[in-house]
Amino acid sequence: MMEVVLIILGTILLAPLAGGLLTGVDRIITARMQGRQGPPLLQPFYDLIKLWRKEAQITNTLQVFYAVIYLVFAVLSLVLFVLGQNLLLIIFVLTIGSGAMVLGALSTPSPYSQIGANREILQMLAYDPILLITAVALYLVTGSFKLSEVVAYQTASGQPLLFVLPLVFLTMTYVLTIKMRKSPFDISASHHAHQEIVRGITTEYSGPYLALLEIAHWFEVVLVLGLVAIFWANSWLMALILVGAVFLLELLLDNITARLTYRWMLQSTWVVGMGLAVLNIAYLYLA
Amino acid sequence: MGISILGVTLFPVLAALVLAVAGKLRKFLVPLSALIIAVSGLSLVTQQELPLAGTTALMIGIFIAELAVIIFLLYWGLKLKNLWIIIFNLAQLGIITYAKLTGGAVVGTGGDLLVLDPLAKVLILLITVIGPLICVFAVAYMDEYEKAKGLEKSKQGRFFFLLFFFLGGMSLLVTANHFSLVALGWEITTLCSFMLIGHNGDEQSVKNATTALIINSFGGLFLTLGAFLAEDILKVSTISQLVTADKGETVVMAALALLVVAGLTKAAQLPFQSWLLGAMVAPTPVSALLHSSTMVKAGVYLILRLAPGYQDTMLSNVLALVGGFTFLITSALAISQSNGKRILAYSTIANLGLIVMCAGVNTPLALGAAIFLIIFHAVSKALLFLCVGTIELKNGSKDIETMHGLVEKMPFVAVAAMIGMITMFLPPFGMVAGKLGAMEAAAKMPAVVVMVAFGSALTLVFWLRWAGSIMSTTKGLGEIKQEKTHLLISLPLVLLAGAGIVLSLLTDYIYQEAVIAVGSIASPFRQYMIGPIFGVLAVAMVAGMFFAAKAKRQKTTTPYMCGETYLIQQDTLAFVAAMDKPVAYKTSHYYLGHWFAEERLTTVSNIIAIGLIAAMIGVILP
Amino acid sequence: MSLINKAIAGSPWLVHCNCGSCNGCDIEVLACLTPVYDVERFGVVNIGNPKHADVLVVSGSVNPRNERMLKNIYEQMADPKLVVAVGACAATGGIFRECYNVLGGVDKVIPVDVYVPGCAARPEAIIDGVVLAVEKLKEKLSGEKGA
Repeated sequence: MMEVVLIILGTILLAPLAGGLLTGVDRIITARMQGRQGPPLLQPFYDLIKLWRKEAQITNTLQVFYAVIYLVFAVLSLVLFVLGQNLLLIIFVLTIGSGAMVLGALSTPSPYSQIGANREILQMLAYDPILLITAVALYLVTGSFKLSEVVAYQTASGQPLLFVLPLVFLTMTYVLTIKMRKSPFDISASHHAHQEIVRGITTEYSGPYLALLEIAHWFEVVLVLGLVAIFWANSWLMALILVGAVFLLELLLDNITARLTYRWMLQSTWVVGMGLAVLNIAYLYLA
Repeated sequence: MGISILGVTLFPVLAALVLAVAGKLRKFLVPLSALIIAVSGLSLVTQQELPLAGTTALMIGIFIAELAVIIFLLYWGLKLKNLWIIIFNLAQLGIITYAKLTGGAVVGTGGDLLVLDPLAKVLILLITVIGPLICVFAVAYMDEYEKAKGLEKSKQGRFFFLLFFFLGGMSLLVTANHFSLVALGWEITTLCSFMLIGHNGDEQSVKNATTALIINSFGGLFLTLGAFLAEDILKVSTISQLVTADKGETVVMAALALLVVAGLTKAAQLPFQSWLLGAMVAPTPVSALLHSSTMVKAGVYLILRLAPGYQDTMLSNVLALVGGFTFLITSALAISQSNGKRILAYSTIANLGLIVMCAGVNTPLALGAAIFLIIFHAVSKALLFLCVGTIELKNGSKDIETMHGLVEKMPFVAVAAMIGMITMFLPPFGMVAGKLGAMEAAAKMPAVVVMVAFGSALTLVFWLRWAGSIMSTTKGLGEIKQEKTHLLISLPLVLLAGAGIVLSLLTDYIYQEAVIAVGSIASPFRQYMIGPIFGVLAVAMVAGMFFAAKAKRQKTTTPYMCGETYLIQQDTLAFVAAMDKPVAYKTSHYYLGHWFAEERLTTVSNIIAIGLIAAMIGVILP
Repeated sequence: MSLINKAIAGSPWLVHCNCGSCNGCDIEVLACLTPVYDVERFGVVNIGNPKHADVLVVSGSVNPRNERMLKNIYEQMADPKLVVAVGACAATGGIFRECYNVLGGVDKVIPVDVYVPGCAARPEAIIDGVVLAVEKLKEKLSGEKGA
């Protein structure tokens, strides 16, 4: 019991730290890829503290309510992940968080945040089934939806899931680009599209409330990378290397691609993603 | 013991007769009858069994009642001059008369005319608690409805007669074990739903009611055929005997397949969905009743009841495909809709598809999940329909695009609707426990689970955007006004919303009481951590409300509109354009019409669904 | 407290508003983001949304048509906020100062903290302006703390 409490506290404290640092690394590497020097490593924390200290300003009180819900459930999904709980449940809990963010953006009359929210819904439509199918694929190999048992299976068999489910892994990393808000799928919060939809889903949030969304996003980034690590869970070192490689790949993808339309996003994730995943599962059945 | 079963079957019929002529007294008599039905239902489920032996006189009575109903349906077929209705009902008439003449009266042996297992108890509770709540709602609703329609002569007598008669028929159907009783209950629900859908009597109502009658008569024919095979050829007269019969025999499987198809028609599965979509022309209480606790649930009830009969057969596997396919396609179709009631209708069909899929997967976990889905879907859907009905009365439209800022105008109904939606698709509510259980159970059948995964993501889309629309403010600075709601309208809403939340907390108990007889020992739904997540949700809600209350005192700004914000009469936002003229903007949701065009998708998927059902019947051939 | 001040000074997010500039200064503002100047070194992000921004960068002179827009954007920014007027037009009205339809510089409508001269203002000057604005912000904050 004590152990569980410690793990929960540790997650709540360390995850935003890791998320912030990752974002800092992200910004430096992105800058270097563009031939710039980039901000200091701790820049995301400066931003966060600044936002926190700014005057609170709202459009309506509903959006504040939803921001809190988003943060709490982003934290909860990561905590459930760290505790090795049921993967299907984690995906649905993640949905509560994202859903709350969408509701928060839809609650204001701002045209920009409404467009952002609708695009975010479509993003959820794109990544949600693929994540669920990933969970099913893990189940078909390991016989359990529980993450702790998925990890135990790999330790016992000594074979990382990456080798068994390479295509499923590929599909999953592809859709996780959406969750990490990276180009070509950065269409709802739009870090680089303010001519088009201002800041999309976060347009109407400012100051401390924006900081809440930012922290929640850091939790989600950590969870996303954790999902990657599941595929090589029998060795800490290899898991870290895999996570690092995927992270770098996402950054590269972010810098060399343009933002695409939602139609392209949905078609590519559904058709290609499902095709690859099904191919992999079919192969498992035949082998 | 006899009293409570009469209280849920015969009493509603008596109440119906009284209410038909009660006039103004209805305001008191409806809640009173509702209470009596609910109490009878509650006392019924505390009992262990329900022995009723068939005597010749009783069987003849049932036979005559069934004949009467079918002849009445035939009369309507002739009146509407619809060949299909006439053919289907004549065929039924022929078959049951032939069976009676040749097979003699197949009298139920022992005391097994009725059945009272956990599945039946669940349905009884839903029918006798949610049904009467809807009737209570209808008392206040129908007054306003008829006022809004400008009706000169009230048709409420007929309306309440049918509502209560319907409840009686449903209770009979779900407690019936003998095929004659099943058929009688089945035909009564067909008849009542037909009359209720056509209640308004205008062209559209009559047309949709006719469709409903055609499809349900078709289902009735299948039911009669299945019962005929069982009674006349296999010489078994009850469902419980049929499901324990030898699966290797083609006739047994054929009887089961026919009964399952009958269930599919009543559960409005593809390709039989059109009758349920048309049913919403009727006043809201009818839709609420058809979609939540009665009618469509009768279809999945029959399929679930038969589940042990076709366990581990190919029929079962194909049935899972049929259900999964319906779930996927109707979830996609729901996205293409902006009509609130149509979204709800498609969502109902989708969830019934999920239940049918669970019946097809046919493992203890799947059947447990199916029962969860039945319970929680009934509660949430009844709530949602009543909310949309109330909104439609005041707002004049059921288009979800017109519901922006609803929480400012009618905060009470908006919050109730919000609870209805949230309990439909987000954890920690029971619906999601059922859905997770269904996915987990189906995981061994990749083709099915892929369809469920995509369908589940599709449902997110239409719930989220609708919930977002109603819980929004139109100008950002809005003040919330308190609206006046009739007690008889607000009470059912409060009770249903409360039930949606409280029942979710009781999943362990529900599992013990309702599922254990068909399932295993330890609740597999425990791994969905409903309790802890509820705790976190409560904390988050309190924290959220605290910060939101604190935010009330903070600086409030208009939304960012490139600096060109313009307030028209202080409540509509617009951009300032040339000559300082306001230009109002309009935001709308994505309906993805280019992918999910209703007509095309319906045609294509109906053909596929017919193929699947044909395959389902085909696989039983030796 | 020094960390908080450092954070506030180290993360100025800009929103850029063109009040009828000839685009000369706008181009130079954008030039600051390019690899040559890279203002992100100082934590500067061109955020494009007044609700997120700390510094309002205005170019061009103010006229009756865009006066309301400028005020609205300034109001929608959360405190503490700063205004940097970039270029001669934004500072004083520039060569359009005498026009019948020009009100003058930005300071006719909203309080300006830093004026960046030039026609067009050079990127180095703009960066200097933003950094100076941040210094002023620090002073403001410590002043508040002292008082």
